[in-house]
Amino acid sequence: MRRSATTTAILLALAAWAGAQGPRTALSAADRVQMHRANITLLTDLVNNGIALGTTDNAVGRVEACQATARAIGVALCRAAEADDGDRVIELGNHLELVVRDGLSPMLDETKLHISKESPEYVRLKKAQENAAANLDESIATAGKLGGNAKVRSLTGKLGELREKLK
Amino acid sequence: MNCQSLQNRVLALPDPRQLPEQLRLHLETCGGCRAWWKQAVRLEQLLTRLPAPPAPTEKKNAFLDELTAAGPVIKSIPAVPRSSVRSLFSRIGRIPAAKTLAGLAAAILIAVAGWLMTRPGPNNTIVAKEAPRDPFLEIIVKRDLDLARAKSPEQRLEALGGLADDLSAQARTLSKIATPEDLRDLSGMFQKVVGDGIVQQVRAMNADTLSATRKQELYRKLTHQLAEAGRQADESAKESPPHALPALKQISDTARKGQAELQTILGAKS
Repeated sequence: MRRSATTTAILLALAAWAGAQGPRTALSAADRVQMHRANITLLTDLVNNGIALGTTDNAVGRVEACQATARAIGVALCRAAEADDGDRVIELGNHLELVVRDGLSPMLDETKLHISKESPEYVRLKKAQENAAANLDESIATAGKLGGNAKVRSLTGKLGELREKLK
Repeated sequence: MNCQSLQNRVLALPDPRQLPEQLRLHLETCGGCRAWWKQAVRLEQLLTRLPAPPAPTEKKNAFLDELTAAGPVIKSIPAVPRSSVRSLFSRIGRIPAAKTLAGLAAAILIAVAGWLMTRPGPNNTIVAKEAPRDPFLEIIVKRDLDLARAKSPEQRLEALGGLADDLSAQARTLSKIATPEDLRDLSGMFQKVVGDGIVQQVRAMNADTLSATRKQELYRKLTHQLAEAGRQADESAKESPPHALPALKQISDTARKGQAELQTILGAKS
């Protein structure tokens, strides 16, 4: 009895594991070239913002550069949503979530601790925060047009949570 | 039809050797596209020739020898008397845990039948095959994130060095098939990261505040990275089509120029 139950459980687990293995397709050189062309504007923006992040010592300036990175991804996401390209919206939405969650949001929190609320720097910081929130609002609203796609709905939910943190 | 359009259509073909008439006509009149097409065909041939690991024949033979060493496994086939359906069931009934196994089999059958009845029909099925994601875009996003999280100028410099490496590697990956414009984009970005990023950041770090050992260390690390990028671009140029050479040369020249500038700024000896 115990043996047959164990055997069945193992077989079911193996079947579930095998079923969960998606087809792994290696990208061909041609695919990479096409992706390069599709993403060149965004890549250029990300590299330029990366240079700004790498050469700016001023904390508020760094927040602004990080916000520009999020903005560039948000703009590309909105274009993808307008073109009804759900897969690309998800791809870019995941990147946007990562940048805001692990980059922009912690940078904003930390910078606020180190500058006076009366300083002009603080005004700049607040502006960057407002811009970040507006960027997320726009991305969520535009991606929301693809509401029939469950993955896009889940993504906009996550972006919405991040938006709340930026209040 | 312009060259860009032709190249996109060739890339979309299952086999670039089998050209439709319309594309063939363009190739007959355009030397640049013909050279590019030959590269695409060569790449296709090289891909099909990629070696597969050989089967472990010795192990298989050794295993078979071991099995047959003691003589044939089945020496005689016993005659099986025909039995009635009733005796078959009664024999199955005597197998230990037969009832449990039968119950499990029935449960699996019911589960499969239930799934078949409740699964979405053809009208509302959405079998979405997810499009592949751009791995290079992911790398660059992560690199920007590293730059955002870097706490010190030295950490930022390290991330900038990584960004330069990423761009140089992508240019080499695409060099055999991308157009000169595609490659120029990448070599231009590499130049910007080295000139406006790495060199600029080293300059801003006020080298006087660094100890001689730290300067030497920093110089060695950065110049090694740049030298490697330049060397690999030169290597790649030997195997790439002529139209890829200007971009690869730009990467190589930028890397050398960056090394020289770092030497001047840090005053370090190689």
